[in-house]
Amino acid sequence: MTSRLRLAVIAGGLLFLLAAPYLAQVTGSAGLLGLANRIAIYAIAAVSLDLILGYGALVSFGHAMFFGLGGYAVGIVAFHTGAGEPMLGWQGSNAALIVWPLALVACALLAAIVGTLSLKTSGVQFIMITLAFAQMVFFVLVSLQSYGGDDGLLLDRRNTLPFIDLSRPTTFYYVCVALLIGWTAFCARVVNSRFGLVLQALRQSERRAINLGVDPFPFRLTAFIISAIGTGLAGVLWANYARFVSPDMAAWSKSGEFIAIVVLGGLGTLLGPIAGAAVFIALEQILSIWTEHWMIVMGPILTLVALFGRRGIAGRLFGERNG
Amino acid sequence: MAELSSQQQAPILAIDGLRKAFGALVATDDVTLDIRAGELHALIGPNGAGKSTLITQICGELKPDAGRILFDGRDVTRLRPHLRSRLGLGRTFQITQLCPDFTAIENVLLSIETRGGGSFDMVSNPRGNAGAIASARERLAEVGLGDLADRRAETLAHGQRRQLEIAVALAREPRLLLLDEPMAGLGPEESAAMTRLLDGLKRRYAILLVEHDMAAVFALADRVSVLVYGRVIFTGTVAEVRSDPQVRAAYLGGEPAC
Ligand SMILES: Nc1ncnc2c1ncn2[C@@H]1O[C@H](COP(=O)(O)OP(=O)(O)OP(=O)(O)O)[C@@H](O)[C@H]1O
Ligand SMILES: [Mg+2]
Repeated sequence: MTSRLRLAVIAGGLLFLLAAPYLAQVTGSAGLLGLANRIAIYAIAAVSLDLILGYGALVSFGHAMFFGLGGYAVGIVAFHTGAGEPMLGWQGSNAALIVWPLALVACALLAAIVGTLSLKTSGVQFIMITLAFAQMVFFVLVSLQSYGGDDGLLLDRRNTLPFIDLSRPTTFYYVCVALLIGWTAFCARVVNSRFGLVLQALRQSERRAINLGVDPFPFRLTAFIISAIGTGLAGVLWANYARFVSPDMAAWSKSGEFIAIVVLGGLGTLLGPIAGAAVFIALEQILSIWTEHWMIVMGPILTLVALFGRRGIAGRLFGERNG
Repeated sequence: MAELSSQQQAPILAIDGLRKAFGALVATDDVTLDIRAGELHALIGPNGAGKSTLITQICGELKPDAGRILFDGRDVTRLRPHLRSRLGLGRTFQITQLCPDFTAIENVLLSIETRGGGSFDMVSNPRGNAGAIASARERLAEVGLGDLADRRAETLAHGQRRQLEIAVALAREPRLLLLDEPMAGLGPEESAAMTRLLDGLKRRYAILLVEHDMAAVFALADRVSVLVYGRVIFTGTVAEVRSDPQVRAAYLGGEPAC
C-alpha cells in the first residue's frame, strides 16, 4: 500500500517537473516556469545535503559556501571572458563543459580542506566550524571589489552547450531537471552501495563501526566532498539561471534554508528533500507576495514539522526511510 | 587434542602489567592475563571491578597508562581500535551496539563488509552479493535468528539483539571473541539458549567471556580469572576457582548482583 502510494507520489512529482513548462504556457504565467526552475536547482542542493545530513548525521551549517563558490566560479570566469581579460594566462571560456567541471573541482577542493579540518570534530563543534568556514567564504566574496563586492556580479549570458541552447528558458529548465534526476539517482546508488552501508553505519553507531574495523574519517570526508560537489552544481545552475551571483549565495541564512528544506522533506530519504524544496520555494514565493517578513510564517511551520513530523514530508507519506 | 596444542602454542592474547587509572580510581591494576587458542577464558568479578574497562583497552578504545597488550605475538598497545579490530577481534558490548535502522542481516553484512575496513565502492549494492548474503544468513541461523533476517534491529527483543551481536562478531571470522556479559538481562530460558550457543562456539574460537551468571561460567569456562578492584586475584580452572578460599571470600561468598 505505502509502496504504491510512494510510486504514485514519485510519478506525480516527476510529471509535474516535466510538465511545468507546458503548464506555464497554458496558464500564461511565465512565473511558473521560473518557480519550477528554482525548485529544481534547490532540490539538487537539498539532495546533496541530505547525503551527509540524513545518511551521515553530519550537520553542516555551511553548505552555502559551496553554493556560493559554484556560482562565483561561473560568474568570475564569465566576467573575465566577457571583458577579454585573461586570468592567470587563460583566455576564459563560455563552454559549460569547461566552466562547470572547473567550478565543481573548486568546490571539491574547498570541501577537502574544510572537511579535513572540521570532521575531526563532531556535534555542535562540527556545526560551528562549518559555519565559521562558510562565513569566511562569505566575507571573502564581499571583499572581492573587482567582482562587485557586496553587490555581486551580473552575467551577460549563460554558459553554452553544444547542440543545446541554454539561453532558452524551457531548454535550460529541462537541463536542470535532467541533472536533478541524474544526481538523485547517483546519490541513491551511493547510499545503497558498499560505501553507503558504512556511511550509514557510522551514523547509527560510530562505536560499532570502529569496532568492526572502520576508520570513520575517510568515509565521512568522501561523503562530504560528494555532497559539496552536488551543492556546487546547484550554485553553478543558479548563476546561470539568475545570471547573477552575490555573496548572499554563501550567507549563513542560505545554509539554514538548505537544512530547513531537508528537514521539511525528511532526513535520509533523498526524494523527501526534493518535495521539501518544492514546498519551501513555493511557500516562500506565496508568502513573500503577502508579506516581506515571510520568515515569520515560515519559521513556525518549520518548527512544527521539526517537532511533530519526525520524518518530514517523506515520513508522512511513506512512513519510513527509503534508503 | 585442542587441549594439548593450546598448551604449547603461544597465547592468542597476552596482557602484561596493564594499568589504567581514572583519577584516584585504579580500574585496571597491574593486570597480567593470557588467552590461549581455542580456550574459553571467563573473567568474573563484582560490579565496578574493571571488567569492561579491560575489554575497552584490549580493543583499543581506551589507552592504558602502563603495560602491554600482545595479540598473536604482536604488540598492539599503541594500535588504533579500527586497525586492531581488523587483526581479528570480534566483540560484543555490555550495552548492545547495533545499527538500529539496519535489518538483522544488514548488520551482519556490515560486519562482513568491514573485515578489511570497508569499501569505497559506490556502485555495487552489498545486499545483492549472493556470497555475502549466504554467509550472513548462515551466521543468523547459527545464533537462532534465521527467521528474523529482515527485521530491523530496533524492533528485535532484547535477547534477540544479544544474539544478533554475536552473529555480527562471528561474521568477521574473528581470532578472538570478547563477550561482555552476553547473558545480562536475559530470562532463564534465553540464558540457557545462550549458554548452548556459546558452548557451540567453544574450541572454534578463543573467547574471553565476562559474565555474572555463575552457572554459565562454570559450565563453559576452561579457565577463570577473578578481578576485584582492578586486580586479578586468581586465575585457574573452574574446580580451582570454586575451592579457592580467597575467591570465595572476595566474590563467590556474597552472591554477585547482576
Ligand atoms: N571513562 C571512565 N571514567 C571514569 N571512571 C570510569 C570510566 N569507565 C569506567 N570507570 C570506572 O571504573 C570502574 C570499573 O568500571 P567497569 O565498567 O570496567 O566495571 P565492570 O567490572 O565492567 O562492572 P559491571 O559488572 O558493572 O559491568 C568503575 O568504578 C567505573 O565507575
Ligand atoms: Mg562491565
